[in-house]
Amino acid sequence: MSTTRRAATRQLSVARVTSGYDRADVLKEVSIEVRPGEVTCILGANGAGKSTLIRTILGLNRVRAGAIAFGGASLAGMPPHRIVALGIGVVPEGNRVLPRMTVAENLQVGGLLEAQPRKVAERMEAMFAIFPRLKERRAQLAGTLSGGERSMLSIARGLMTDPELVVFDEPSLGLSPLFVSEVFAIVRHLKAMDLTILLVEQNVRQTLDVADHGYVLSQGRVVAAGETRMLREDPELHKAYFGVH
Amino acid sequence: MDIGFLAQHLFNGLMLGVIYAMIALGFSLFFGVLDVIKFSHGDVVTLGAFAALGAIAFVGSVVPLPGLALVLGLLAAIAASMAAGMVIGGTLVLPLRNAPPVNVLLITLMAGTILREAIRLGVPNGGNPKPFPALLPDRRIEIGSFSVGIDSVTILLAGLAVVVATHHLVTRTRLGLAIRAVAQDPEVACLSGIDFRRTVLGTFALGSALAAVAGCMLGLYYREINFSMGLVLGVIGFAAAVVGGLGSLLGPILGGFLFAGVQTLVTITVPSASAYKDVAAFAVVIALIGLFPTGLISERASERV
Repeated sequence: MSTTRRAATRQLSVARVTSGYDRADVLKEVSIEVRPGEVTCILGANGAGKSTLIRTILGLNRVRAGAIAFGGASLAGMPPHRIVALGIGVVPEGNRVLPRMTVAENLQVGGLLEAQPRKVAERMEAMFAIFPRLKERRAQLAGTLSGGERSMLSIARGLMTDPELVVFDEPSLGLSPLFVSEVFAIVRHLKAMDLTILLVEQNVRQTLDVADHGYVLSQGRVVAAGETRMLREDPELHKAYFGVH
Repeated sequence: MDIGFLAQHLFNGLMLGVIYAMIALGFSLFFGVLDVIKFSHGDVVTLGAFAALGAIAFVGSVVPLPGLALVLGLLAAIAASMAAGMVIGGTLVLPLRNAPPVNVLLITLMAGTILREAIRLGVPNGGNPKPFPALLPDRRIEIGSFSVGIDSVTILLAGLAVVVATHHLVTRTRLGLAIRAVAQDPEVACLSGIDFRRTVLGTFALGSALAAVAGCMLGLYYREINFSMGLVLGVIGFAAAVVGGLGSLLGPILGGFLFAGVQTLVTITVPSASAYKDVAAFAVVIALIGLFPTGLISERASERV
């Protein structure tokens, strides 16, 4: 991004958080730390609680017990839009775009927190520099884009909030291998710009290549944690995916 | 049948059409943003008209300036309807967001009844029709055999301006962008930093302000309002929105003009049956819904709110 931004300084801390849907607890006393300027990944099989963890951090699911903090601010009980306003950008699961709006309008929605039109325009130009494809399609309805283009738009919209921490929820899901590589290239690019990244993924190999730290979730609990080069060898990681005991 | 007579009816039809369109837009906006039908909307129209009447009477008792009375009456109507719309939206509709839609339908139907009866009981002698002062110039424009009141011209032009302004607001402003984002995907909207609750309440305020203006215009045109006028107006607005395409922006406008058009057509062709103009219009609505179950415009996805 061409906008001059300060280096990331705030840490996201999730401390012994329990959360879930209706009466069932899906997460049980989960603790993770997302250090400023680093890429932290959450790995785990389907149903391990990855999405619940992300939804709880973002205020979409209620925190039943425990605490979540970003820098000095407590996030538990805060509505999602205020969490985003603190500097947490979100690329939601499933490359969701606003289908009946143009590409440019989708980006403007991401820029709604910024009151100055000039800054929104600057950020939009920065997005078009990273994603030239979106510039070509700026007047097209987002619902008519290809899967890869949607994922680009979804990422760009998340970045339009000018975040310090970007949360990616399974960005490679449903994308062709070519686009998966492109998504990971973007994550690297953002890391080089000193953004903090929380990456939730199923794609283990490429995720471990890009991440600094990682956590492995299984049945709603953290079963392994550490630097990715250690995590790569951890038997818990293989168990979490293949159920090998 | 002479041209002047036809032109006059056509003109009245256009004027009613724009008023119906304003009411229908409210239904469409509420449905777009929350997927709910708010059946108290017709009574919010009535509330606006009565708030205007009260303010106009008050101003008239202080200074004899009809222009000022009109402006303040309009403002009072908008304020009262907006407040009612936001209170109903915030206390009855939003908390029931995850409940079955029929609950919202029922509860807003009840809220409308309460509002209607409160007007009847709260206004002195409220059960009877109330004369609405003629505040617009009383002169007529004559072109050959065509003669039209300046008041009607004013209402039509003002109504068109309000509809165009609403379209502009929804398609071109920050609030409109937020409204459309919430309508298309509330979760993505929140995660982009949009305040869901504020946007929904803003939508209720916008729709209710349109209802207030419609109520004032009906009062100015018919020179009379009554506590139950919202009943049939609500049904007409709802029907116009459904025929045009509930949730779309241009659909309800089209639906409003269509409904008034059929009413006018009946009045022109069978003057003796003009009392049945609503019956004919609703019959056309039923037929059109049968032919286009999703509305006339909703096929064009780009225009949904």
